[in-house]
Amino acid sequence: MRKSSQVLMGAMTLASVITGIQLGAHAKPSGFSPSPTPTDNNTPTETPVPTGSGTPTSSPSPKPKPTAVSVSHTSDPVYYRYGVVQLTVVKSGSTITDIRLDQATATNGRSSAFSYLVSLALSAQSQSFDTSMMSGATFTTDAFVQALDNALNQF
Amino acid sequence: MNEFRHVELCMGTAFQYFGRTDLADQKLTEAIRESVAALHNADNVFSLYKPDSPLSQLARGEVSIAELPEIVSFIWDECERWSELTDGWFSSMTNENTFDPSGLVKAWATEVAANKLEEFGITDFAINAGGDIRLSKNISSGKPKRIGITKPVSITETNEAITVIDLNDTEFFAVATSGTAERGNHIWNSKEQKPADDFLQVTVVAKDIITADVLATAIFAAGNQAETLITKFANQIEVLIINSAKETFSTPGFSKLISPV
Repeated sequence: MRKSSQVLMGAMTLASVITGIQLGAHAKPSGFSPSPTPTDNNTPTETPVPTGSGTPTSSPSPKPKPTAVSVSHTSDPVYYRYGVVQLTVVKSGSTITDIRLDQATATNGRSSAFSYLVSLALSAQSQSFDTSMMSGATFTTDAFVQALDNALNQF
Repeated sequence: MNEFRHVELCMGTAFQYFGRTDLADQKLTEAIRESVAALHNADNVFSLYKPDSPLSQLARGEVSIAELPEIVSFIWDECERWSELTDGWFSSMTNENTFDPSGLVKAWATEVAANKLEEFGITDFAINAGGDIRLSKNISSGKPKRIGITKPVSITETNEAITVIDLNDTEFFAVATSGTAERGNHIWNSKEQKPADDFLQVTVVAKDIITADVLATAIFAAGNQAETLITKFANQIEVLIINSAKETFSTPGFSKLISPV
């Protein structure tokens, strides 16, 4: 009750109950900062060897093989209120090495949110990443999570 | 200790489960299955997007509330109770004067889903119901008690956190955010019969998710008239508001929750 009566003593304006605060200094703790998005989009994928009578393919390049074979799976397109999301997840062993946005559209400038979600997912290595603990995100995040979940379930 | 994660799509949003347990895999699977079943049961009864749902039948006037499952009456009473508690700022009536309790149902279903996990002895978890978060009482200290609050879309084009709070060693176990963040104007000022537009986003931290969710909506709807409401619940909640001028306000105690990391 004391807290309540203290509040009541103020003038009856919004600003008397709630004070303006500066959040900027705390806005980027490590847990929620995006890790650098991988710039290498040429992560090797498990490409089926062409069979049949097609033109001969070039012999395998002599470059060193990656330690684990990378496998990629593409999600179904997820249509949501503001657009569509479709993505490809590349895994090497149990590690997600890349998430490629095949389609990622959103109105109101939301599409830029996707690169942030990708970096979050890569750093957290799962579809749950830190949005598990984000209050306020809804449609764009939901659509991304749904697409990621769909792609991961194909592994 | 096994970590578990689960994403369940229901009510048009993603329910994200995250936790730790000693439970054997089979029991854990069963617990999650029962928990998500509670969400879907609620959706099946209360969805207005499903034409055959009891609530859709009620909306069309085909049945009376007395003919419907008892849970509908319970939710109706809860909506009435919260409407009175919030001086009418929380309203389950649409601007067409039909009953739409979806605001309360999602939070209530999340609570029931969380209770299911607890019945199985899982005590260390969080459920993020499309941006509204319910923590278990015994959640272990550390990362899971840190919760980011997103910026409204009109302030940023990324999903950055405007701030991060830490509910470790507090009496709070729920965080809900109402806003126009990605949904456009979707909260109705039922007293003045217009979309609520004084605020861009309201976050409420409370002991339980129903209180957090209902009051976030009510404070958003009240806008610049929210003072009486915030004062009334001052001993139970902390509030963070971003108004349409993009100014940030909070209750005095909110700043103490901000994670110093």
